[in-house]
Amino acid sequence: MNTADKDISANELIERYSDMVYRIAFSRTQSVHDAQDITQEVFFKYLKYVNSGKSFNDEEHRKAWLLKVAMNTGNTFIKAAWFRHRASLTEAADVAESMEEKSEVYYAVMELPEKYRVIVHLFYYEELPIKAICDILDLSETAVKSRLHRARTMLKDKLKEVQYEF
Amino acid sequence: MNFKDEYKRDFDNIKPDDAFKKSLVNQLNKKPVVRSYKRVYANMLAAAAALLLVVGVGYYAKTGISSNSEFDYNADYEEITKADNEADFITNSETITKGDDMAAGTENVTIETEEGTLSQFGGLAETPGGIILYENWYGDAVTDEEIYEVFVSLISGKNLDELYVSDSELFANNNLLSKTEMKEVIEIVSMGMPTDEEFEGDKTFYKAVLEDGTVIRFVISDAGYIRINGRSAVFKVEK
Repeated sequence: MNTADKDISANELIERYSDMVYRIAFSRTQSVHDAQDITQEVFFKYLKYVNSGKSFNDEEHRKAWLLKVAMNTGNTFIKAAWFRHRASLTEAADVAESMEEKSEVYYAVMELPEKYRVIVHLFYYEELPIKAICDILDLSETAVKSRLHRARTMLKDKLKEVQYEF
Repeated sequence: MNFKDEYKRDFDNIKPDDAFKKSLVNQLNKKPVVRSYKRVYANMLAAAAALLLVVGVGYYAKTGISSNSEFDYNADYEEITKADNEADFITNSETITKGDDMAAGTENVTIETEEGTLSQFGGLAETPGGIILYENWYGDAVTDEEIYEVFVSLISGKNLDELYVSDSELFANNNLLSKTEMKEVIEIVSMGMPTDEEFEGDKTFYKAVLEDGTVIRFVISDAGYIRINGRSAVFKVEK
């Protein structure tokens, strides 16, 4: 990688973080193709960032930066009208493409509005503390807690046949 | 069953395939040349153009290419101190000051009243003093849930300056809440969930004053129902 970030190679960067970036992109867009586009764009932005001479304090900083950029990059896709139309058409096809069978939890989360899905993903999958989620999403702590609370309530309602521990 | 475990198990299988990862590594290892970004920038330009189109259409739809838009340039504001009770709107904005030509159509025009029974929601509002242009506090939020979320954000963030409580809508003998009391009210409000139930219970009235002077009134009942002034949607605190 032609980069000033000498402590991590392109290979290592992609190995460590491409899954993470892809997953947050997919949880928002529910589209394999859009998730790939967003992922690619995020890493191009990373390259530009480090080539400008900037670096990260530590891995936590790098991870948070990537997640934030993934969110911002995803916003552009999601807000575009063409995306809204396209997502509804490709969603079923893309989900069917995934090889493994998914549980009712997956479908319940995917049915949530996007702003709740992303909080659920950052909290439960990435296991980020509330403060970190606030920084990534640029929301107050109360707003994040409020959305998490609402998401749980909606999920409990969708998954009421099985008692899930949250 | 544990929700987190199930969710993680499902999402562990969601990842880019190896071919995609390999392609990404190759692209990152190339020397930065303009043409490497062509596809990326083409996508970005297409997305930006689409976004601009959506925003542009939305902006004109909101402000209106109509006779109403002349009020953007109307500097004839009057100081209004009392609302006409016949005007059956309820506002959340409270202070109007005299504008000048340069201020015409600018933001933060509100109407000062004892009771705040003035028009609501952005755009134009009819009052005894004439039609006045002012901004709403919830921007371009449309649904009740979106508006409620903006409301929660505003009062739970740094924007909130003061919070008053009263046993009546008039706030004649209102009390300013302490920081601790404010925090408790904010906590309750942030737990509100939309409900189809009717608003019930004895009401306590609140008036939130934001740092920019915007006022948002809301009511909480002892049964846990919440409603923002001027909105019919009811929210409920789940126990």
